[in-house]
Amino acid sequence: MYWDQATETMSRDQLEELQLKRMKETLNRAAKAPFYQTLGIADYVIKDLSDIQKLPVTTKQDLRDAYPYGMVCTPLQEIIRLHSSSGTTGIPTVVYHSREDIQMWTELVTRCMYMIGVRPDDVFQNMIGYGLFTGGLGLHYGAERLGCLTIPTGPGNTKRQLKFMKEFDVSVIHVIPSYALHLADTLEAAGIKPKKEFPKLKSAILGAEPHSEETRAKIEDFFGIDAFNSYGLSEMNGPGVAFECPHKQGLHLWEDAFCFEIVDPETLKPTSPGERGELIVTTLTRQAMPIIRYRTKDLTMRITAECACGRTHQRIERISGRSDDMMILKGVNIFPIQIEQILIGTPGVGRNYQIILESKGHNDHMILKVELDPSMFIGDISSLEKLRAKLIRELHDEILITPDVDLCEPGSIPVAQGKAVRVIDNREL
Amino acid sequence: MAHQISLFVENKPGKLDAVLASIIGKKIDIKAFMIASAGKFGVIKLLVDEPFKAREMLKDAGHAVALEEVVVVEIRDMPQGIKDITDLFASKGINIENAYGFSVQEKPKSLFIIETKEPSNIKEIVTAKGFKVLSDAQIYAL
Ligand SMILES: [Zn+2]
Repeated sequence: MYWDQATETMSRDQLEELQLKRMKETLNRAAKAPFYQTLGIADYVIKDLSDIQKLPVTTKQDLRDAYPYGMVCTPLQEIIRLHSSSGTTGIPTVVYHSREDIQMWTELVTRCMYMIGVRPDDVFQNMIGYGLFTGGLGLHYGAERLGCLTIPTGPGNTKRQLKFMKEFDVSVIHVIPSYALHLADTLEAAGIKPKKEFPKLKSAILGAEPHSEETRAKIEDFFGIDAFNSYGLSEMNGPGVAFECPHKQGLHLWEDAFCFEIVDPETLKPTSPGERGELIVTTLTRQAMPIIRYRTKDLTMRITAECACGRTHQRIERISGRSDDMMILKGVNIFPIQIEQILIGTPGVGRNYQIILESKGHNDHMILKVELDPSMFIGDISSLEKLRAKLIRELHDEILITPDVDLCEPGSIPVAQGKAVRVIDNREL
Repeated sequence: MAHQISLFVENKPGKLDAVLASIIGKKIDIKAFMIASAGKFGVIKLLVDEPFKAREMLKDAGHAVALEEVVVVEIRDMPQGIKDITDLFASKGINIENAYGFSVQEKPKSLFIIETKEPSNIKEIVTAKGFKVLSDAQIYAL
């Protein structure tokens, strides 16, 4: 049941010793990168793991400022690949990998896949974007390393995805949760029963998008499979940073490869156990481009309890939002995922949505745009008004604010690819 | 019985054109249409020559569309004819979900379209009073 039992079940003492050793090596390597030279990283002394809190943090903006090679600490001939984040405007953030880096990344992804029961006789369909985006290639390398028949379909082309799943007897899929729901809708509309159509399908790896427990349950119920939450970010390779084990009680974050902290996003002080905060991650094995204390902006919580699976690597709770996704409206903290939950539980509307924030006089005001589900439309205006009123009521119960709800035509809200920009803030400061 | 298409639209400039573009010029003729609006969205009601085909076309174009049975009654003159019918309904205690009328050009004829949960009942009541209830084909033949 373990891909690498020695590492996965290493005692906490040994694991922390390994982390400290690798942390020191990381600092030595980072000291060769121009960006960390200017920060004077060579002057910091790490005696034990808690000293990491004295180190400076690295932000996405730092990565941009160091573009193109300011964070690289090995000669270019040792670098074999780069990936770039999905930034739509301005300077992209680029991450470089040596051969060793790619091998380590592959190792981590393989570990994750093996953990959820993927084996060489599985047929794996990878529906996540290939290319500069890390999701597709990351899982692709892991699946091949494991020995699966790997089908690199990438995203989109729903008809072909479903045809391949059926004809190649696919048993494991890697998919963005919103796309998995779209596949479910498509099958439902065509009256196709997934258990009959895909008898071998056993699990889905849900990646690239934070999602709620409700979304997971919906996918599991519809397809009759297990769905596992995969967490990663391109700055930390991509997928393979943290992953759910079969117990689905949080995601094991691989501490031999990463050192993580949970901090208050305002003060950067560690949060107390059981308190949510921003995840900060340091690479421990990265050769070409070590990153120290990277601010992921993802909000989560550390789970220190031992996991029934026997792995000693600590877990994080599923990502509950991004610190920069969080909206503060009339002093209330609101996360898009709360809105997502309501939409999933409301028949008659789609799952795609957009939030617009405006100033009304001195007050903040929220407009939620949501698409009508065409299959539920019965033609009369009064049922639409009831639907709208129901949404407003339920949203108010969840977020304590009364938003305006605009019902929109199906397909009129742009479909989010990857980490979606769902919030448009037009408020005056 | 006649059929009416209901189509969900946002109340925004150009939206109506965009919706109608998916059927106009594609061998679907619109005999009448009415817009029921509720603030930022509305429902367009359409009487067309081939309602089932039009529904499929609109559905394929991704629209939220529904097809309902409606009672289409022929009336002689607009204000008095409508009053005759509404009086009739009032006397029988019948609730109308929605209704609208339109005149047929170049002919001294008007049509009154009634949406109701029980179209067959209404049909009986109005025909018993001597009104003519039209089918899809008859509407189009006007
Ligand atoms: Zn576990």
